[in-house]
Amino acid sequence: MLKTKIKIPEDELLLLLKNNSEMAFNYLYDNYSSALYGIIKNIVIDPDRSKDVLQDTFIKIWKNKASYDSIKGTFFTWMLNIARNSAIDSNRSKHVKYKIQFEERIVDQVNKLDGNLKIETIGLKETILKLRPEYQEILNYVYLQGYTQQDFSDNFNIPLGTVKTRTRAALSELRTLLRENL
Amino acid sequence: MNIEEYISSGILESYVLGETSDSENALISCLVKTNSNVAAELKSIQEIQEQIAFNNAQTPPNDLKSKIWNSIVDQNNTIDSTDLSSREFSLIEKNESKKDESVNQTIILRPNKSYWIGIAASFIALISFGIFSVHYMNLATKYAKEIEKIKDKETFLNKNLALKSKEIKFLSASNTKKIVLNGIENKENYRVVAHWNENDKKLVLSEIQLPTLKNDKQYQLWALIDGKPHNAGILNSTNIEDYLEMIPVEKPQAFAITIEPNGGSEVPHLEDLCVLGEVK
Repeated sequence: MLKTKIKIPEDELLLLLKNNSEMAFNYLYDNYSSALYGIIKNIVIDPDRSKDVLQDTFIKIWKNKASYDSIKGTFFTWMLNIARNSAIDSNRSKHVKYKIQFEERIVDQVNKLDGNLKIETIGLKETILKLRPEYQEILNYVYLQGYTQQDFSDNFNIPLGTVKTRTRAALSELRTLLRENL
Repeated sequence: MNIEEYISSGILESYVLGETSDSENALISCLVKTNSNVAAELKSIQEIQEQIAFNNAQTPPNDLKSKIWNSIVDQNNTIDSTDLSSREFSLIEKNESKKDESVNQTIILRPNKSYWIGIAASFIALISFGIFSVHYMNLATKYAKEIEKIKDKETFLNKNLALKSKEIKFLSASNTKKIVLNGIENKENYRVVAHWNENDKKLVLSEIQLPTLKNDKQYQLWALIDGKPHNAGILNSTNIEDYLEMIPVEKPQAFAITIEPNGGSEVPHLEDLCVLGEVK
């Protein structure tokens, strides 16, 4: 499987996608399928169902790419949200209720060795560990485990407004620390 | 609540997660277009979210790529439309047209020359008739549309006969921009039309469809200039009429109306947003 290292600028990518070409699909898959699969697998857990959800995600992306509007954000963010929502929906339809131990997850992340990991993102894991616990917690549940902010609020009995401001604070601090590392 | 406070509440982070409501989306996309700070902040949040996603990437199984592409190709061949918002696929399969059974006939024709000339003539007549029919039908449709337009205009003019001619002049001037302010989520039947003149900067509201408020509240119009809201006047039960002059503004990017306490506010209560419209 050819892994393309060339990054196409977003407007060119969108033009390519309009053509419905296999080349466009290959570009998306080669560059983004791992990130999407990671999100999905963290939420769905079950490998077989994760594969189905990834397939579902790409089909939805392909079908609805014409409706993507850049005002919503980057194409990748758009795809991420489709992946996340598909994973959450899949869980809901299977009535999945699970509780993952917070500590266990973070240890998983740190110990996991993934050959696709880019050098510059290794620093991200260590940096997240430098954040205070409640920030790590919220980043983990919301960005990795597919909890909506409402879910998090309901599960942990924290007012939604607080969840939102804490999410912002966690991301802000993460960004600041990353900038200091450079 | 001003824009800085609104952003501090974490609304952009929710937006990037796709968890904001339609009305929040309308306001945020407006702010992103008009306020470069908001746009930059949004970009920054997306970048970190993307980094986190890449950081947690897992390689999918090898066979999945071709499997997915094949299913996309299959779907393209059988599906006409899909609706992402309903989070379902609707499969519309093309119906195979049934072929008519052919019937064998054993009639022998012995055509002569005049027969063929006759055929050719009727063929030409048929085509011409067809062409002219289509042409006249198009003309008829075109005229019907124009008649409709004229009728609409007539209705509109009759309605506004009560308006002074000066007002009509203002509304229809070529450099008066018409901006429709549409109701946000749960307020879909709210609607106000703003008219802003690029030359003299005058601002007028018409077709004001807003429910009556309690005595302690009034509507306030805001003009978004350089991404910041500026007061453009108050609407209350005493002054709401069909041609309402507001405060002139320079270079508005958008207009919005919020509910404020009597006397108005310095900064808008964004949670009480009613209608919003961009100046194009």
